[in-house]
Amino acid sequence: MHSRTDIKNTEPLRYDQAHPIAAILQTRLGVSFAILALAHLTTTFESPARISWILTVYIVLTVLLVLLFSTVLDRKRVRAIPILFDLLAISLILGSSGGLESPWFLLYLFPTMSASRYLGPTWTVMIAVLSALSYGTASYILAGDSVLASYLFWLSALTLGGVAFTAANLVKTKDRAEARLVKAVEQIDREILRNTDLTRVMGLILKAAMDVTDSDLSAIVLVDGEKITGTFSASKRLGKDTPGGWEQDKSEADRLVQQHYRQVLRSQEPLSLPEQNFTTFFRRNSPGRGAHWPGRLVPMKTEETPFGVLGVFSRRRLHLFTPNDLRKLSSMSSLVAIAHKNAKLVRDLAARELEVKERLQMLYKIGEQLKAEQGLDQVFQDVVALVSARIGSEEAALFVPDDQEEGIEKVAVSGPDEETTSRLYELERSYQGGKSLTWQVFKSKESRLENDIPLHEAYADVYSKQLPSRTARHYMGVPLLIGDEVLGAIRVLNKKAESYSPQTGEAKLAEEGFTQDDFELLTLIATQVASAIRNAKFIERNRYFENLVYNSPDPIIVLDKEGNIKNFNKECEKIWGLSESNALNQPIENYYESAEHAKEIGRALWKAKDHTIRDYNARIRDVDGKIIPILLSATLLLDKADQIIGSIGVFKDERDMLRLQEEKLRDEKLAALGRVAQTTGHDIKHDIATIMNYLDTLEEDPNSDPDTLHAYSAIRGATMAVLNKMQNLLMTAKPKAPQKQIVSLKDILMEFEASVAHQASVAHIMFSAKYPECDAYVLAEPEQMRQVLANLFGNSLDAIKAARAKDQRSAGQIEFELEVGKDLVLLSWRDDGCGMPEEAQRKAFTAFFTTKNSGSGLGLFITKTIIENHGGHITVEPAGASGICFQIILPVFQDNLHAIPS
Amino acid sequence: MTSFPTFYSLDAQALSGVSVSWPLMCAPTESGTKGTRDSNTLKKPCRVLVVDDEDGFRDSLIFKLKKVYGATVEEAKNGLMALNKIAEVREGESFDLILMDISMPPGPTGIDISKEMLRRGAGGQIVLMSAYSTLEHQEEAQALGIILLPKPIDKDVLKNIILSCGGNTIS
Repeated sequence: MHSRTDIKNTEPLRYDQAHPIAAILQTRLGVSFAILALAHLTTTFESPARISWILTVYIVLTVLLVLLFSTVLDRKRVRAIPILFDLLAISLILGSSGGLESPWFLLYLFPTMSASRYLGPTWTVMIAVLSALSYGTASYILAGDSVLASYLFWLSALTLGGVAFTAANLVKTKDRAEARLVKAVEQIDREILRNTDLTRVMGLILKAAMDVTDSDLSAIVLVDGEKITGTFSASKRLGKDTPGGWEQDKSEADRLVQQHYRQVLRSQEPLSLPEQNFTTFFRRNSPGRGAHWPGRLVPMKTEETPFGVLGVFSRRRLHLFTPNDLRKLSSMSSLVAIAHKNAKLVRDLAARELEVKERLQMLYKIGEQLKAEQGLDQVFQDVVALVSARIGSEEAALFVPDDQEEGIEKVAVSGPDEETTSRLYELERSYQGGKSLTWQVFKSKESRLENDIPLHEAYADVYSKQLPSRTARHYMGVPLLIGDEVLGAIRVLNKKAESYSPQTGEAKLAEEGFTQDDFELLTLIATQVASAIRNAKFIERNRYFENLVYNSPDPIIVLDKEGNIKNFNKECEKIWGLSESNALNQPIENYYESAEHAKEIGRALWKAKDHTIRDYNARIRDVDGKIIPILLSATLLLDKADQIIGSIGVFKDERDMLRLQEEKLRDEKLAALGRVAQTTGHDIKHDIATIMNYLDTLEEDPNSDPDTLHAYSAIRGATMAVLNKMQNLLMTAKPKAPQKQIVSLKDILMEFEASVAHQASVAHIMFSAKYPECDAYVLAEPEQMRQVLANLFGNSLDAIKAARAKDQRSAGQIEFELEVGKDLVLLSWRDDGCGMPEEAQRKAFTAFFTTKNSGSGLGLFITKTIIENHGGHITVEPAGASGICFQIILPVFQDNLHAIPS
Repeated sequence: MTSFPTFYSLDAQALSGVSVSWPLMCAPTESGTKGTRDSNTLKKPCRVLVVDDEDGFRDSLIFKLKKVYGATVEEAKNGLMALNKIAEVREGESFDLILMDISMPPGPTGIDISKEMLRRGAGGQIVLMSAYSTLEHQEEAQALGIILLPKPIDKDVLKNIILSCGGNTIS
């Protein structure tokens, strides 16, 4: 970077190197001796000796003055003192040399010129006025007065004034030129400071060069070593003269500079161009006229090292390039040098910035790529792919500690192509201690860069065989460190040459191997990778736990230290009827029964041993405001410094437990009831059996009159009905497999018909049956078959009663018909009762379904169960106007001895 | 009627050659009923042992056997008592029929007692009764060749059994 000091140090504008005191002495002494000589040579002087005396005194006084005031004479005003001395001395000389008639007044020109040089235009004029006054005074006092003399005086005074003005003007012009140059230089400085484009800065310098030399075209050649890094040329006035011809002149100038710069650089002296002669001087308007323009080439150097040539050309055939011009041009070289150096610095800086930016971008990309959204395996794969791509290595592999923590295991590898990658992956999957460079890197936690691995190094030979380059020469290994913890290591092999391409079979390696830059890059990547792996691990674990918590069969809730919900799992969602997203970050007190209750739990938690409560009776409020009792087990979560970071609670919905308890109780009750039904049922059956025994006995009494017999029959019917109901109940409580026998269905039906005939007649029911010619044998338990018939009879009886309740004229008919087929028998049971709605028909055989007021809903269910246990099938359909028809299909027993197991 | 399962053949043997066919047990025909009513003469009193722990049922059955069939009836409250009764029986006074309940807690079951009786070779037709017989009971009875009747006992079936044991109805 530039600073102002740099520019000051170069001191580009020092035209007058001589010390002012020395200059004063030199000039005065020189002039004094010249006067002395002149005075002695001319005879017109009346008294040259007097002049000698005057000058001697003058010289002595001047020397004394210089010696006495040497320290202050640098100042502009004090510089007037010697000049005043001069005026006095000249006036004395004039007085002694003849006054107004003497041409020696011209001596006054000396202090006037001196003033112009040292003191500027104002002082020049003042000194000229003083000179004229001194001249007049000296003449008047020393030589007397005359008319002629007064004219002469005025003439002389005017001459002095004119010379003074001219001198002052010259000085002004020079000052302006210098000011312009300073301004130009300042502008250039500014532009350099602003890091403006080098071309523009050079343009400004070229312009300044033309300015100070009053030329028309300028050019710069910069030489860096052997190379020309650029030529810059500019023209001020050419465009106006010859539109379109500018470029030609410019290229001409460039050509000239190019042609001669070497010479200039070699000699390190300014060169005049072209070699002027008369022929070229008079050739006008010839093509390529620029070639014949007068020009100068000046070497540019910094600390004696030439670095370029600055050239100026003028279209005027006679152009005087003063040495001062050349000095000025030379002085510009430092500007060019600075600009050049600055541009280079800026370029380097920009390049470095770009590099830094690129590196940052790359790291950012790595960071992005390795974002632990993905699983660890994917991270590993990405890392090796990325490393081999960025470093340009033939192979890159990632190692992490193996499960036993005894060695390291290769988890990902990247080769030049897929096939090689898969081969490489199988190589030396795990490295045990002490066997490899990578293990050492891992163990020592120190990175390594080796560009000349000996072939006998462990595994180097193994790898050589698999890699396209057939060698394993370059090695870099970097541990993946987070603090002191080493998570693994990245290893790369063989820096690829630019031309490396597995497709073409070109497998050349870079001669120099891995560079320090590569090494640094790998180290940088390693830090990124380490944190990526750490993140991925952390996230995987985090996800695992989150999953665990979220899917836990128990409701789990996690709070932060302010009591806001941080985790709200699936079961919580169910209980509260809230989604996790709604509950997150809400204060828990909104979800307990009350804020007071929440505080109470908080206090209990704080007071509890180990800050843990178990099965605490708490109450929560669900989304509908319903209070739900829960059993809460919770603990405070503390960090290493025993600071509360939150709390975690697991709870049970007490309603579930109550419900379970109730269900259990109900089941137990039912089971007990079942057992009671079973035993009581059998007791009842015994009782019925007892009744039946007595009834049988009574019915056998030959002396009974018909009315008594009728009563006995009614008792029998009612008792049988009780028995049947009992059977249904027992079957339901504990279904019994049928104890099958070969039975005649016809016999069973006839017996049943007989047994209910009386009951039917009492109820005024027409009970009719149709039997086939042949008998039908089925494999069945007779008792259960009778139960089926009893159930159907009971059902029809109720249906007929219901129909009669609606309509007294209802007939009341039950018909059944047995049809025997080859394999099946069909029993149709039809009544004209109240019938069944379609819905009831569908549910007719469902347990506990009944349309009756008093029914148990078991009869038809048991019927269906029995029929199906016998391999049969029962359906129901409407019959007639209102009635219903059951159809039972049973398989016929095949009359074959061999079919019966003995 | 030509073919009977093995069970009935065994049954027939157990009934000492007297054929008891299942139609008789299940559905007495008109003729059957009439037949028994016709041959209503009591040649000799049929000796029956009723074994049941249910007092009501046992009494009602004894009452019926005595009233309807004029049988000489002995009773036992449980299986062990039944075995004693059989053991006490004097020569020529053995039971023609033993009607025995299966379930008589806490004592041995009717099936166990039947096995013991068969083992001792005590005479008399054993008929088991049960208010709730399981398939196992059924199978065991079948294996022993003993008839198992569900309670309440069908009057016609009982009549046939009595008749087959040499008994008769009073009226």
